[in-house]
This record gives sequence, structure tokens and C-alpha cells, in this order.
Amino acid sequence: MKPLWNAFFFPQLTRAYAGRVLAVVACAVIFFSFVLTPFRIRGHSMAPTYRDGGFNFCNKLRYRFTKPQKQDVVAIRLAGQSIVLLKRVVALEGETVAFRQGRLYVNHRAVEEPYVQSPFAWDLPPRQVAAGHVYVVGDNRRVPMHVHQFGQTPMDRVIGGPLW
Amino acid sequence: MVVGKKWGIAGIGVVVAAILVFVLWPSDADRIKTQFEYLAENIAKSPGESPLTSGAKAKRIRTVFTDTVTLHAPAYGYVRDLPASDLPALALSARAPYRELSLDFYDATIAFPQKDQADARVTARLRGRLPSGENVEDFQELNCRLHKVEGAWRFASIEVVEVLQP
Repeated sequence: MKPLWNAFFFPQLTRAYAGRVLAVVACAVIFFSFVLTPFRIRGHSMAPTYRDGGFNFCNKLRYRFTKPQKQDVVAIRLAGQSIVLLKRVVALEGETVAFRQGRLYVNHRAVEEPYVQSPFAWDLPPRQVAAGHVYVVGDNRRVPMHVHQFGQTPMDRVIGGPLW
Repeated sequence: MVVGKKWGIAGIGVVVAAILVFVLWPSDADRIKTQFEYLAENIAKSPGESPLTSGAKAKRIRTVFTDTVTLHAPAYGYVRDLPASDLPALALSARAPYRELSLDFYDATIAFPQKDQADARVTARLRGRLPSGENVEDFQELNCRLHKVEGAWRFASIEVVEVLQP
């Protein structure tokens, strides 16, 4: 038993061993750069669903073959992917979005949003989501409308969604 | 063995030469990134910064801009052509409310649509602390146009990109 133990923790530095280490490192770099990217949540825009300081992974394959759906939480890139916005999709292209007294209306129908707690009385006149865009809002509506970043964004800015 | 040693030394020489070339003759993209770093350095504010240092930093900010600068923030319906001579005063008043301030740029993508002209797209992250201890953070995507003036890249316009349009 002991030699196995030793071989595991103190392996002989052979060419094959170095090759295996390199392969594992390369796979890890590719996986965590292009498939599941770790990120830290900063800010309160998605509270209480996602809290400031939380940790998650961005699943970059989620929308590779499908389009974001309503209620999905998505990651939206800025100039690159070092900083992304985490928001919830509330309307899809062609739909009409409005807020009345803090309540969300899509296509003139009130939408139940169990993830929103004690919303501020937002009022936003109806507007149509452009083709190739999604309309996103954070879950934290406890703040006045003008301090919350929300709106429509091109689909190509959506780079994935949180893993959980 | 001696041949192998010679090749080894030659290889190291090539690598050192390549590094020297990159350090001594940076590309235009690297020079532009240096301008972003210089801008960030001079906008940053440390706690207890003296008025003299603030003044010197504000003056240095002016040097990375062309004589007239266009600032454009479509979300606020703001477009303004500013003489660069106004920038030090503007920088001083913008930095004044903060006890600490830092600016970082990420993900710069640089294109050269014409000779001596560059378009840089970056994410800017501004973090500040007010005297009350409250932390302030904002990040924006910026579209910057730079012109090469007398061998140096200078910012001619800065546009705040509206990533989410209400």
C-alpha cells in the first residue's frame, strides 16, 4: 500500500508524467475559459436571488444552440468578458414591455414575478423590444427606476447564464 | 554537446532580442494601452492626497487629450465639445467629492480605421469611497477615438455605449 501512496504524492518526474500534467492544465484552462467561467457577484442588482459577494460559474454553452427564454438569468458582456452584467430576461423580441406602479406588464398583461420583493413604484411607458434583442431587468426593484440598469440589449451580448 | 550548448545560447539570445524589440519599440496598440493606464493613474486618488498632487494630476490629464474633446453619453442626451484646457478644472471638480478613487480599464479592443487614427473599445470601472465611508462603483463600456498628434496618441472623443436601452 505504501508504494502506491508514495507514487501518488511523490511521482517520478518522467517525461510521460510531465505530459499528463500539461494535458490536465491545458484541459482545465480551456474548460474554465470557454465552458464554465468562474465569476464573483458584485452589487445588489439581482438581490435577493444573487447576493453581493456570491460566487458562481458562467455556463457559456447555455445559449450556444438555444435562445434565452423569459425568466432566464443571463450574463451580458460589456466590451469584453472581464465584467458582465447579471440580469433576468423579462421579454423577448417583438413583445411590449411596461411598468405600472412597480408591476411588470408584457404585451399589456401583468406578469407574476415571485423573485421580486417589495418593488418600488416604477412607471415606464410601453415599448417594443427590437428584433434580435431581449429585455432584461434585475430582480432588485427596491430602488428607484433611475438607479437601476435595465433595458433591451442585442442577443449577441448574452454570453451565457449562471450555473445555479 | 558543445553544438547543443551553442544552439541553447542562440535561442536565449533570440528570445532576449525579441523581448527588447517589444519593450523598446512598442506597437501602436501598446502605446494606446499605455495612454489608458496613464489616464487611470492620474484620475486615481489616494486618501489624504494633497491639493498640490491633485493639481499636478489634473494638469497631466490634459496631456492625453487632443485640443478639443467630444464627450458623448447618449443615455443622458449629452454631447459636448470641450476645449482640452477645460479638462483640468473638470477633473478636479469630479474628483473632489471622493476620498479615494480608482479607475481601471478592461478588455481593450483597438482598431485603426485610418492612418494616425484609432478606435478603442474598453470597459471602464470606476470605484470610489466618499468621506462618509460609502462605496461607489460604476462600470461603462466606452468607445474612444484617438488621434496620433506629434507621435503621441491622444483621446479625441469618448462615447459611453448604451449596453441596456430602457
